[in-house]
Amino acid sequence: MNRRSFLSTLGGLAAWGGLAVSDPPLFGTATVRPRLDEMHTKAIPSSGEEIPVIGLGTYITFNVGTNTRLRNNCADIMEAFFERGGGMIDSSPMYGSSEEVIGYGLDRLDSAESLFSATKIWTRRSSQGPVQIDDSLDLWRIREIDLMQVHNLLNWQDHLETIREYKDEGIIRYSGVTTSHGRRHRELEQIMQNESVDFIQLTYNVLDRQAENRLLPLAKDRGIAVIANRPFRRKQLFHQFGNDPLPDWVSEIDVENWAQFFLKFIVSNPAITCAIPATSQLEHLHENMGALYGKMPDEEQRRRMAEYVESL
Amino acid sequence: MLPFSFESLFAFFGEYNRSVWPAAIIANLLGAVLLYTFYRKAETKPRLVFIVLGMAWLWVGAVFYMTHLAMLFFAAPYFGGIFLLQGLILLWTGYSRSEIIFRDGRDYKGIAGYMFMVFALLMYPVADGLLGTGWPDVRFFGIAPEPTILFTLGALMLIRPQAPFNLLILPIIVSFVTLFTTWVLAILQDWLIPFAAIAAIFFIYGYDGGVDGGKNSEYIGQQNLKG
Repeated sequence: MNRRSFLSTLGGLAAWGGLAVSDPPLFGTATVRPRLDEMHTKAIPSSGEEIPVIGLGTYITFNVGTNTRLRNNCADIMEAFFERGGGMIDSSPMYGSSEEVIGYGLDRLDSAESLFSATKIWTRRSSQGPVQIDDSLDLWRIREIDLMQVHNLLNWQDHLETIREYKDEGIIRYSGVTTSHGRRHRELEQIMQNESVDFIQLTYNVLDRQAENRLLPLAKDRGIAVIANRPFRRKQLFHQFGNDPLPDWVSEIDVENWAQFFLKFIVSNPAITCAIPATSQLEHLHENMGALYGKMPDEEQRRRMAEYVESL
Repeated sequence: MLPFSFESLFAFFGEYNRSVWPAAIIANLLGAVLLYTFYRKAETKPRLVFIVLGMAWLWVGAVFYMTHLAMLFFAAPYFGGIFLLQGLILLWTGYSRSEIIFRDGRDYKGIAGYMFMVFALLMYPVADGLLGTGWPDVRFFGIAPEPTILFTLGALMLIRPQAPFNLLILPIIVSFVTLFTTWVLAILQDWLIPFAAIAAIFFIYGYDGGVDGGKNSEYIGQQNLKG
């Protein structure tokens, strides 16, 4: 019996016995509400605050404009995300209507206490930095932002200064800078060495591991939290490997599907604080959130995971 | 990379159509009037054609891109600028180039032009409905870019002897730019746009014959210009 069928059976028994189960039943089976005390969290080095290692990206998936059906679907994703123990939701002004849709979803939820809001400044113009921060507060419908990052290092000097000013006012809690697709790592390294930032965001997954050479060790040394974006290379990993079998030994690390394989590889890296997969499908969300629980691979198992993928 | 999905884009078309209703009906009626005029009259004076086409491009630039799609796509205002510019070029041409004649040529060039216009008016919404996410998530001539580009290319193919190149530059550029969206989002019906652009270039600048004597229609056009 695998873990999913075990949980399904357990959920059925729990429901029969009148115990608490999640509602509504998912995919034709009742599932047990997760034990949030058993989920994996990691500390933000600059504060010691613990955050869940699986977050939620919103690029493309939450950019649904004003369509009510699609907005409600995003709200459902957010609800399931928080129910499964999620915390960080990451967005950007570059992602079109995503921030507004997050605000719509938060407004619809009864509670989003575990929300760790992460968004970005994305503009070349220094004067637009404060405008975008204020816009984000309005769009998300929140009073403070947990993490404000400079998107793709765009005019990072001035924007980091702006973010620090907002930190001093208590409107922003953490600062960060982002890159993606493995670009501008040298400049990112210089920022990590010379600037005071709480977070960096970069691309890291089972195939894109360049960050292991210099950036991740540096983040460890400098006490900087690391967010891994493009954990699935925007679906490419599923297209590439999704039809191949998972190795038998993944049961040792409580992996049931490729999503959890990819995510556990990422967040088990000691330098990685959080991965932010994006999805618009509840089934995928639940697969992703499964990586928040169960055994994590150790160094030897991580090496085997990378080797297995490379062998396919 | 585009920051929206196929489903979001087509849902956006539906929301957009509702918010500008009944603009789609009016634009399609104007397009149908042009098509009918081309068909019924041997020669069509340019002013009405360029006013309708110019207003269509201005609308797509200002309303579709700059006002609506900008919510989903950060680059939409830039595309809007291109459409505004083409709209102004068309209006200016209609005002200043009264010698241009749209002729009902029954050669290959004319037939292809008619086919593009008919597809833009009637078939594009049907194709969107069938291959997209259903009604009303469809695009219409005059208020959405792709059918407007296609109709414009078709209309310019009726100009005899040939359309001025400055009228074609931007439609051809945006036709090929749409390839990126077509490819990334796998919008099958939009493959027609770059195909139509290539056909327009071929028929307007590289073709000198047709089923009933394209040379003859060009000759008549040239005579008309001289006259």
